[in-house]
Amino acid sequence: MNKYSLLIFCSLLVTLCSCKHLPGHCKDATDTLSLYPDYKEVCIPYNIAPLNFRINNEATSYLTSIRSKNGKTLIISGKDVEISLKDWKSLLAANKGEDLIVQVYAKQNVFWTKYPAFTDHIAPEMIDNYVTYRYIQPVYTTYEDMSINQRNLENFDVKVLYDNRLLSTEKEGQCVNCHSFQNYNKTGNMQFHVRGRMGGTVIIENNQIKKVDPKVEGMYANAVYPSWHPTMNLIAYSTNKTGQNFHTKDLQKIEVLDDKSDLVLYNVEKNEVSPIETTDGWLETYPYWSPDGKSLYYSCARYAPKLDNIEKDVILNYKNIKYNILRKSFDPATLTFGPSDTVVSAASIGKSATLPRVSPDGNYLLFSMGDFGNFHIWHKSSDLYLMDLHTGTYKNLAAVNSPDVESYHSWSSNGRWIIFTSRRDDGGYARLYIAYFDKNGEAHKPFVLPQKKPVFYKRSFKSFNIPEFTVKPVTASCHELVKAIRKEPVKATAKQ
Amino acid sequence: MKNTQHPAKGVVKKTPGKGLNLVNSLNGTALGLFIIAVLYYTVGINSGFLFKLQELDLFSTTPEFFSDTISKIGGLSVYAGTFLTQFFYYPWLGSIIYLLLLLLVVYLVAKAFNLTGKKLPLAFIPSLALVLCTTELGYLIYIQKLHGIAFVCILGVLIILAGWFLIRRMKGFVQQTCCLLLYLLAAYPVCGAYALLGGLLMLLHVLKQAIAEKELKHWMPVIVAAAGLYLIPFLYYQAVYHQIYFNNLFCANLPNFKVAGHERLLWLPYVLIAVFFILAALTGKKEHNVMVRTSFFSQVWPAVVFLAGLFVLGHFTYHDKNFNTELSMLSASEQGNWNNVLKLARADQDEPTRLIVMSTKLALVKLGIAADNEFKYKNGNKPYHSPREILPIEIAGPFFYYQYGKENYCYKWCMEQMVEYGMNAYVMKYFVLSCLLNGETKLAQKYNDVLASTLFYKSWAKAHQRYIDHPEAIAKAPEFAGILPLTNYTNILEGDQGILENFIRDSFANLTSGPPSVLELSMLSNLELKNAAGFMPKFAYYTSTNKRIPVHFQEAAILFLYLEHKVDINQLPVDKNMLAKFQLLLSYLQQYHNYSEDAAKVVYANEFGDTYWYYYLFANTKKPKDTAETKAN
Repeated sequence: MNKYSLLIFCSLLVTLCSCKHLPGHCKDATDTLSLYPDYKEVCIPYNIAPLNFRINNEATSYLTSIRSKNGKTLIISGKDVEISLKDWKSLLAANKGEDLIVQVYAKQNVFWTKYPAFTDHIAPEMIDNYVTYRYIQPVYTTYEDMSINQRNLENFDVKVLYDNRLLSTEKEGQCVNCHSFQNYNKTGNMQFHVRGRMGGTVIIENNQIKKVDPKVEGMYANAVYPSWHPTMNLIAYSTNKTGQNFHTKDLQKIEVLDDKSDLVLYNVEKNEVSPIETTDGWLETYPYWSPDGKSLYYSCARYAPKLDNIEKDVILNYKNIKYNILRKSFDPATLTFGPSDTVVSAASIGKSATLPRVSPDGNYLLFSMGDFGNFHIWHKSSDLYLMDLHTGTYKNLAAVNSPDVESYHSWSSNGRWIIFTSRRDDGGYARLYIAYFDKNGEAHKPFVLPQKKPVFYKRSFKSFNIPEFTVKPVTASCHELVKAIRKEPVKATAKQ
Repeated sequence: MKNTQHPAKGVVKKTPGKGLNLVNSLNGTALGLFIIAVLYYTVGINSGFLFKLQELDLFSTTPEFFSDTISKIGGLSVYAGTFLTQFFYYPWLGSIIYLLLLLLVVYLVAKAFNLTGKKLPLAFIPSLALVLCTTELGYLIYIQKLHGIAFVCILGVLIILAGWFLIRRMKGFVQQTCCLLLYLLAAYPVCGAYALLGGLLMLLHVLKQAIAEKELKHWMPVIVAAAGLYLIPFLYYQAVYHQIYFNNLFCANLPNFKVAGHERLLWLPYVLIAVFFILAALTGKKEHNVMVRTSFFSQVWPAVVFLAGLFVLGHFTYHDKNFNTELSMLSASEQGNWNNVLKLARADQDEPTRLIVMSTKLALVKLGIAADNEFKYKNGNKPYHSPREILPIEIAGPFFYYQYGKENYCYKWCMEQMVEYGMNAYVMKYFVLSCLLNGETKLAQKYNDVLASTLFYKSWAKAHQRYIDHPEAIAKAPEFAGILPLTNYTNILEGDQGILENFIRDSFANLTSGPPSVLELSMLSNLELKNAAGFMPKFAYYTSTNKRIPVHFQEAAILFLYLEHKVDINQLPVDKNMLAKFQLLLSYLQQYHNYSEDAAKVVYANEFGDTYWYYYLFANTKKPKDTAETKAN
């Protein structure tokens, strides 16, 4: 045998030895299969990254088989089931609309046991390739380490779009927030705010990056929550006078309260701001354009302070501030808004509805509803609700909700997926959950955004905020953004 | 041909003799003094400080901790530094490791720059400066962002020396330049600014040779190397790291001291290290087999420099009695050794800081003797001896909030500190404890898992795991027995504005219901605020439910009722001796009414210094707020 033959023989031997075989006869396990994250009985897009998980049940060895109607069965050994990206993609691509059957085997001492298989479903519709979110520790008053990240949902790649430490120092901290895209970034237009050091609003439009200051004379606060018109270079903003206070005992810990808020329209091309809704005694916030761009939805609450000290008044009465969801018609030709009509009258049932999001087909309105206030990301009572815009009826999306917080939510561009934040994992840190939304208007059991390491969320001390789907990646590099942020903002003018 | 070369003028062959003995004894003494100094300034007088240093740091064995740490410039040395810092959990163990590494630095410095013989004491200078890098910190450990600070600088110096050894092995300018560039590429991500200093020394070495060669072509590699020194950090900034401010690119892995004001002095050891290495690189020569005929002074000057180094270490090492007392008190408190806290309070001769006053009060409350003793202990508001403003909440916010049953605020300040200064064992412990008392077991598990992945806190984590697994055990656990009753209050929405003592005091003072221990605390808080309206209704209730009225409550009741002029205090059911003493106070008030406050304080102190009346007359109730303000001074 020459040395080449020996090498080939050894390679074959290693390959054969490393081939994994499922145990033949084995007893059924007596305990219940426990996985982290829980990926059992979920509906997944065919282009999602592998749903890696950890088997919590104690055993000395593990084997997991993943199979579907077409393609080869994947067999993965180990407590942490980390699936080959290539094999996973092939399997899912060959089985759109089929079931994915996952079976776990565990060896205790010398005998193998088998857990009942669970079935996930591979939806025939894809999910948008990217989700952009703010990655931040659930901070209260200090901010040192936060970034806006873009995750490729087809794999585990994360691109940091901007990290505030690039221009932030010690006490001169910088906060970045409220990223928003025009029409799923199909146009490449996006914006986000920088607060504190070198503050302003960064706008990427036609591959140009600029920094503007949309706060014009007469506005008591900055432009805050944005919604970019789906086809026009217009951004609807709320302008909010916001404060935060802390519960001494309530597990919700923090209360973010507006004592004043209005809506304004920012014309990106003209760098011009005009009022949309500024009625005294009402708080308007969270604007959101309908997909056809002819309506603007927003949250609105009646608030008439009884004390001269408004900040104190809002602290005393925060539980009585309840938001409804309203809608205004918009004429793209004249850039004028019609009167408001109430879409969700949450206050009438003692609830508070926020963050209206219309499905891309215009049929449904997804919103968060909690007991009071508008900052539902801290409200354990907050759940996702769905309104059929044709019938005007709405329901609790029980399939996706949990006893903990469900809040900031977005639709995928094809309307088949929703992504939202929830603190259900540990009660403290917001994670991104994805749920299938079928043609019958039903949401399915959600699954947490998959990570390469199954224990990622156990060891991550940051929250995921403001998930926004995009079909295209953001092309600007963080150093290009740094360059733009370093500049003085161009002051917007008030429309006469 | 016979070699007729003679030693240069002034250089003669010399056999070992008296001079060498002197040198040897000086070197031996230097080594001995160095070891004694290091042990004295570490485990000797700074045990509590070193324990706190490791508690404000954390080394975890998880891959996530590794990847997170090395995602920053200099991350690998921070990773190694935090690994080594954890051994200060046992200050003697950490100190021995620290000493051994410093001796390694001494050895390598001596070898790198040929500091042998009489020059050997000079090789101790960088190590003495490295010790000062740690011992000068004082209160700044609470607001230090560089993790593993005590060891990061040592590891940085070792990498500087590695660069120096490397460049000296390279022959030819091209080889040296490539070596320098590769060194920077490899070392900059490992230890940041230290690699740049290492690169600078290597550049000086190349430069020296270029000057010696006196040929223009030899300057080209020097220019390339110099450009590399500037461009390589920039390259990393552009291509790899997105977590650093450009202006900090050249000081990565250095502490966050300011360059102006009192803090500028803290840069001294770093400047000393840089200057030492630059001078050594510029003046270092190959050792000759000859010895220089030297005067006594030239033989002893390195020893003199060494002694000066020792003096600098001693002079600039942080000394503050209150700082040490606070550390000891907090350590004793965390162990539940409340009697020891009081012992420390009694032993403290200095004017106490608010943190010492707060620790004393907490110990009295925990021992159930505050209403009889609080005003017998020294009150004070000595500013923290810190070059930078520091608040009690930054030093011990989570601890005090936890102990007073303000679990949400404990959690809040753990979070604030983790965001600002990174993960550490101290905040992890209070995350776990506050979550346990809040019933948030999933969150408690998350933080406890971090402690379980450490070398020295895993036993703590194991001990608390049983409360996570069996939350019902919390109610019966002695550890929580003194805290659980304090959590019995109604939720309200407010903010502490970062003023720890005020917030705790006000929140208890304003309580309208609660168990007996809360009632006592509420009454004491009202006494501290000199708030008769808040105290008296609670006092009335207290007398109806308690047979024995504590001393300070009696004193306060007499005083407040006297001030109201509605009741004849002689008819009060209080100790007659106390009434007599109060009459004496009234006579003092008449007798010394024209005294200044400072003079009156002295006069009253002897007779009434241990009473609430003295506090009422002389204590400044705005102190906690002042504390925040005075720190800025």
